[in-house]
Amino acid sequence: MRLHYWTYEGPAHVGACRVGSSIPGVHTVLHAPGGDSYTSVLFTMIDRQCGFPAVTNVSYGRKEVSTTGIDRMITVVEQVERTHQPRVIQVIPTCTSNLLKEDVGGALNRLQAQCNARLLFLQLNAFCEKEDQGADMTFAGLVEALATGTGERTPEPSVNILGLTSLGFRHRDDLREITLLLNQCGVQVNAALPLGGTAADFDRLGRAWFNVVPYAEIGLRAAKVLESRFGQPYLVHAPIGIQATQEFIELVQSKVEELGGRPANFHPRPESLSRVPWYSRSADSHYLTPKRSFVFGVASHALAVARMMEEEIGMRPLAVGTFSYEHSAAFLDTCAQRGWQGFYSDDFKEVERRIAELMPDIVMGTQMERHSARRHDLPATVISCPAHVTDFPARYSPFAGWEGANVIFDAVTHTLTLGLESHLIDMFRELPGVEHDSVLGAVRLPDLPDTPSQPTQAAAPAVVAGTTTTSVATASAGGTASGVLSGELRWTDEALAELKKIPFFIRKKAMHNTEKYAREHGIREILPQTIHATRDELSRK
Amino acid sequence: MASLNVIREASCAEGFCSLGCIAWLYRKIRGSFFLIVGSHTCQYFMQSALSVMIFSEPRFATAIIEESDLAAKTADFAHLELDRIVGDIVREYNPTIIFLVGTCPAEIIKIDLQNIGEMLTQKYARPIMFAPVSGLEHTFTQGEDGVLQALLAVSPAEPPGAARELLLVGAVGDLVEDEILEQLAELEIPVRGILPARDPRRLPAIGPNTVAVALQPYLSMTINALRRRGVEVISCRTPIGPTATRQFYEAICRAFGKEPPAKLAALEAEAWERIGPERELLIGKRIAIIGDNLLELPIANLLYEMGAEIVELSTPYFNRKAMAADVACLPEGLTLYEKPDVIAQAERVIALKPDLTICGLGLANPFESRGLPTKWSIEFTFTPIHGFKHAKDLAEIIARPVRRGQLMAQRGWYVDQPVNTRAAV
Ligand code: SF4
Repeated sequence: MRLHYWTYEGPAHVGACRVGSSIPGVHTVLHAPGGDSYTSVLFTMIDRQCGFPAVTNVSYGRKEVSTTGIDRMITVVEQVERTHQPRVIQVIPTCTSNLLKEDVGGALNRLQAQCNARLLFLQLNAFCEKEDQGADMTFAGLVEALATGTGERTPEPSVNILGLTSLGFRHRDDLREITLLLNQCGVQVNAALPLGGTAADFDRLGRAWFNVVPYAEIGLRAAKVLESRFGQPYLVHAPIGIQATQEFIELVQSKVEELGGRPANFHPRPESLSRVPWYSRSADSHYLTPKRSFVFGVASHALAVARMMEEEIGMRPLAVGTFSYEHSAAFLDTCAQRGWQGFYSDDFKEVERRIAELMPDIVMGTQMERHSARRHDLPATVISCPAHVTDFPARYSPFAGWEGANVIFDAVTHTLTLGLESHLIDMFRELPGVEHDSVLGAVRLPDLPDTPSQPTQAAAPAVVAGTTTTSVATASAGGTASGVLSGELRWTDEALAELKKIPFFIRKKAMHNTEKYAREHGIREILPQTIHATRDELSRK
Repeated sequence: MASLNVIREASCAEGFCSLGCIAWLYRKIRGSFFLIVGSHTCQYFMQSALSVMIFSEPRFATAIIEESDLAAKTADFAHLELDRIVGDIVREYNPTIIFLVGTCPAEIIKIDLQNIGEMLTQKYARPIMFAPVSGLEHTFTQGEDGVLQALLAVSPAEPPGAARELLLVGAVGDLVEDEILEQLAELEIPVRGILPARDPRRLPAIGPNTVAVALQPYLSMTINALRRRGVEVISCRTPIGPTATRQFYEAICRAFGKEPPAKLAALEAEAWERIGPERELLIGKRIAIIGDNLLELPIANLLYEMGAEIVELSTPYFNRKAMAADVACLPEGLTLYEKPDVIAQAERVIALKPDLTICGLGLANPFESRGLPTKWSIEFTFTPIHGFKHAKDLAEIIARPVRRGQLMAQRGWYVDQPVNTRAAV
């Protein structure tokens, strides 16, 4: 067993539902206990999909678990067929079903004869796979079963866009942007799946000249299925950032040429299509030069954004990390080639520790890094799933292509400006009495009155359980020394007063450095002199 | 007694897992730690569906069963693993009480959390209690029923000759709790305590001189467990809305041999007066109540008392005995769907075109996209709604979508063709 306080990816079946609910005509039946019906909430609430999500939970209970769970699943499949008349019903197990010894596939095979919908059982293992891999495998499973066309190519160059899904980070808008890029290259979109197509489009997948997988986490397995079935080559390339977009255009056109077509010969100057080349160059952006970034997210986004930060916006990444286990090896290779400090982690606390050590000027991560950054008073912007409902904005805001580069540039500069403003607000809010808290945001306050010293022998419950009253013992924690504790260190009031003389926008950093200095020199109580000594030491470096 | 027609449907109900109760209980029970013994699915449910974010001081986490654990299959692997994990939690956070929260996977692979809890309680010298909660049997708020039973197991026995005192059962916000205690003090009702107590080291004692009253309608197992310990239980309405609150206090007064003071009626009248504008708005409105947090009956009663018409009523779990007082006030001839079939119900509601639909999170936007105003039932769980003072807040959150619905109806922006809009990208 492993203890998790929070996880970047959902379970595999969430990935399967992301794929299923992206494709009108596909209905997902979750073979799961009643409590797992929350999955559809993700789609209606976070992605704000309208309409009833095409996900139905079998909702078996304890009684049915060992006996008639399969019967119940069959009833639900039949009901879904009657009510929604989908082309495809995919039955997905969740963790609990993985543990039951049931022959779901066999039952569905027998049921198929009576159903118009194509029934598919996609066996995911909730104890191994997570959300992205679950999505990738589900999509490949659908392609495997449904892409049955002849493979006869379209007369003009065309591609399939594979792997964009509902709940994907800005995938809705990326689809439009990537379609635009392809059209500029003189290439038509034959089909886009999961997002952008319908269940009927699987049939035509074989007609495309080749496949485009913008983000490797979802779509790669499907592209391989299509390669072996129809001999379709595929491109994996995230067009995020100016240069990456240019490369995408070049790659697409040379692929067309390689396959005997005539590309549009589209080799634009990027400054004619995006404002980033000019904005990044303009004098207003000089202040970015000494700033450093921290990038974390799904592998494809983290790599692309880190490169854009280093080469196009000019804020070198101090570290670049990902939680995408399946792609971590390639990810770390790329980081090493580029000279970045690359890392893999699925533990948000470790990511937070790294942020706290590096104290970058901007954090670019998932919604969790936004929270972590806030705890350390650092500006942050979200560049990857998992994302909050606010990262599904009303306005057009892709991450891919020319417009995507504009969006990212704005996100960076707005975040830095807003960060400055919030410091100003904090500064003016600093009232007597609460100032220590606003400086030392991480100070923990005691939650409970002091525990009456507990005997460590047995029979703990009887000791813990109280008397028959509601009165609360208020053993007030008498006169402790003044100052504020931060971990094992204590800031004296004088040191805090000294700290307040430091300009607000570098105060947090000064604090961090002073504490580091204190720890390195075995100092437990921070005096004004400690702050001075720290400054002296840093200036010698 | 109203004649209530109950239809129990074989359903694929939409509802939250009962693990969801941790979302309010970890805040309510100070110094507690909820250790879910389950899967990635359980952890993800907590963090995403309930958007429970953990900040600097986590109070719950999941011990995720991994592939290697399934392969291990030795009898005490779970004990060893949980010993290690609990040890880490004790070292890092030193909680006062730890709940070992059961789940579907833990149940299926037969992890004996009861037994493990007992062993770890000895070792770590603090209660480490099994809370029977899972998505196989219970629904959403009922999880609290499981946690309260775990707390009851550590509640001390009443000393002989203890005074006859009132025990409040069910978690409400601290604010509401204080208000209820204040009101009871005014009524001179002796109070033993509250389950769950804010401080788990000071749990109320339980015994034959305890008189219990439920603050929430979904605690039938806890109430039964109390009865088994000789506790007398007052059957009365859930104190939600002005009239139900008055009746609640009156029932308590009577149980303690006091004539309810006239002041209660005055408080009720005041509360009604405060919600006058909302009442005006809701009179004659047709409302579907198909929520998922087991407050459906008390909410239906309040809306009925406000003059609305209940056109559809369902609840994920119905216990006629525990909810008797709430049932008695429902309008005559109503049909209650227990554990409704979500597909059939959605079709029914769309055909009914109610002025307001109170429903779970997952159904709200689909109904809204068809032009039907909705209210998330989960808000009743996270907003203070009990007692005289909060009747106004409750009325306001119910009236808000109706007002908004009227505004949106003027625009006529209905977006009920999601399939086409997406296909046209
Ligand atoms: S339904 Fe079962 S498996 Fe799913 S979250 Fe609840 S306890 Fe976990």
